[in-house]
Amino acid sequence: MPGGSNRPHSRELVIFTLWNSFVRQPRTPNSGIAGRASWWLVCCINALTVSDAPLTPALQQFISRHIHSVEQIEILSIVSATPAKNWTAAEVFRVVQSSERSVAETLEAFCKAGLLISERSGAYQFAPKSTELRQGASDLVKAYRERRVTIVETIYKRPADRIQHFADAFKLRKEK
Amino acid sequence: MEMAKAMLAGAIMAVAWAILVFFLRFWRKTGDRLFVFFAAAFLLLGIERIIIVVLSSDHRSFGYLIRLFAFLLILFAILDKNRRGGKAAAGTSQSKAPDRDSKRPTLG
Amino acid sequence: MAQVVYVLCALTSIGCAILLFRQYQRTRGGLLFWSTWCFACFALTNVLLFVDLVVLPETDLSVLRSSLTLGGMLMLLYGLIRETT
Repeated sequence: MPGGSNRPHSRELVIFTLWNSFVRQPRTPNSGIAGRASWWLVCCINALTVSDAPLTPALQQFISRHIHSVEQIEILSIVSATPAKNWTAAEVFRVVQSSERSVAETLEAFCKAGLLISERSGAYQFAPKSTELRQGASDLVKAYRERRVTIVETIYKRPADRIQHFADAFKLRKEK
Repeated sequence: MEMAKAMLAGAIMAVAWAILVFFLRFWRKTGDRLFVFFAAAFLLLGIERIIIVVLSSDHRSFGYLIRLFAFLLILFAILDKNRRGGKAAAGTSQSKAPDRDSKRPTLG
Repeated sequence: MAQVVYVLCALTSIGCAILLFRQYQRTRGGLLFWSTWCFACFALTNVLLFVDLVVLPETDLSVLRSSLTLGGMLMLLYGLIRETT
């Protein structure tokens, strides 16, 4: 799968940072004190900037409406990374390596949803019709890189979530 | 006209009982009592339809009484849900999604 | 007494429709959309029942009421099948 490695959070990230700084040699050209210090600084910045917050309602809505599988996120990541390029189903399939038919169906579905536009040649280009769609796609791709497990859970536990949403509708005071 | 009323009543009963089956399934899946009350309400709504068609106009108020019970059940379900503070037997609130990412430390 | 029953049923249906619509606005779930319409139809049916039996007793709106109820229930059933299976 394309994308970065899974990164730990909070307490685990502090341990990871310390372990990387003082135990594991950083693989940088300058492995002296300056090299270790800069590596430690990068790890600290990662630790401070990774969020533990739940997915935003807008992102949950985007996933609920447009994303039904991990393959679809991968396809969206690929086409959104190069908005100027026209992608055919075959080209996307060569990168994703799932099934050419499902890739073609996904591209068509994204086109109908307004995320892509289709050219006469049968190729697709990433061109969301609205700011909400563009923002949703960008947030999803970013969240998938940083919080893959949460995103996958959000996609695949959807039927029970819908049932629970129905039950939660009758709570007069909503939890924040 | 009477034939149309009877057909509509039969269709409503069938659909109401199909919905009842779904609510019972949800109750089994989530353990939330709300679904049992809704299932019972739709059972009564199905029965009410048939009773109104079968009984003569003098006794139709009995059918409307059943409708009253059905809606009282729905009201009770809502009150019960809020009284419990939303803590169903197995259901969880949508804001309590567990942050699974923090449980996967990777070192390296 | 009968009027109280009809009004209570109508108010309960309207309340349910409002609660479901509020949740639909938050989460945009398909099941919530269809169940909002179902309870909205129930509300309309109960209002029509009041009109039929109290306001205009000489008219017979029972076929219209039954059709509305059936329509609402079919929408809910459609939502249940589509969204949860």
